[in-house]
Amino acid sequence: MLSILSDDMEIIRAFNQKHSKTAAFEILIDKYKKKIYWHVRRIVIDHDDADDAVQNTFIKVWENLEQFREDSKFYTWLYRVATNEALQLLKKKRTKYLVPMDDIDFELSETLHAGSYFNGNAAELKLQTAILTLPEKQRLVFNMKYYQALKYEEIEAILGTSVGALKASYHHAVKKIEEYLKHD
Amino acid sequence: MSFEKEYIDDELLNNPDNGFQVPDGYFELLQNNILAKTTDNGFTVPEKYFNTLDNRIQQKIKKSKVINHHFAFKRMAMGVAASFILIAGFLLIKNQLYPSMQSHVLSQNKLNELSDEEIINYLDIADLSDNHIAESTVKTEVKSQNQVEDYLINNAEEELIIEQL
Repeated sequence: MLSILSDDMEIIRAFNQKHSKTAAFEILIDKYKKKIYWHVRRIVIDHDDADDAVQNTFIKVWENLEQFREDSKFYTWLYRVATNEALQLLKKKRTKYLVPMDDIDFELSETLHAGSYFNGNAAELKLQTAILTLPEKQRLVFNMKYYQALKYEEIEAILGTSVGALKASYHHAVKKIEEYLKHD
Repeated sequence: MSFEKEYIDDELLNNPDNGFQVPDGYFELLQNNILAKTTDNGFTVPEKYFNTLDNRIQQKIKKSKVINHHFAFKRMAMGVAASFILIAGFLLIKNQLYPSMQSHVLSQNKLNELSDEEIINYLDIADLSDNHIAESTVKTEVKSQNQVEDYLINNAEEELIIEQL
């Protein structure tokens, strides 16, 4: 019966009942695991880091979903949790390896070029490298808008940045990537 | 005659785009854009990764529940132990700072075991000043004048009272 639930609120209501909590949680994982994986993968680049971030995201969902209020959409809350997990992971890496703020993007680029779980052609590699030259938040905006086709209002709910600022950020990101692809 | 030839200008008919324009290089980019949104753009995952992800998440949650219970018990035990140490420490400090009450009780008990003669003999031998004796004396309850008179009347010998007058 639970498997036919598609509406997030229905799944959350089932989650809040003891007898259907686990089954509802499995439906949520199944529904969002790929979206969340690719979202965090584009932030952290490395597959193993993405795997950690995805698992930690869903563990946080399990622990906190009962407190979730219906004043925002579930998937924007989920994306917010996933984004924070991915960024926290990058922050820990910086601290652990004493990498300066600016150099983490260089490290991510090195990971990309190392070829671990990346088999894109030259053009794809160049595009991903260009995206990594963007500042962290701008990269987030670009990925969410370009790859995941999220609306600006949805990105606003996830990042807490105004729609106007997001539009400007995306516009600049596209220009920077174009410049990089032309000249590099 | 077809509809187009009767009512629409020849120039427009011959223009395949019908006046609509597209940005330069649009169709070249279009394929890339579609591919970007529908493929993984070079990123790959281990085989069957998504098939096993659900299980691994559930296992991690079960593990964290066991660890949480274990830590909760440990925290409680440490809290109880800490309380005992605090109470014991407090009592120790109290006894060190305020020993007189305890030693006073002890000395009182020891004195009670001695006979009056032994106490008098000790006082004769020991070189104690009146002040010393006064300080060591147990403070008695202050009695009223009537209570003293009653005591003397009931307990003291008549001759002794007369001597003191």
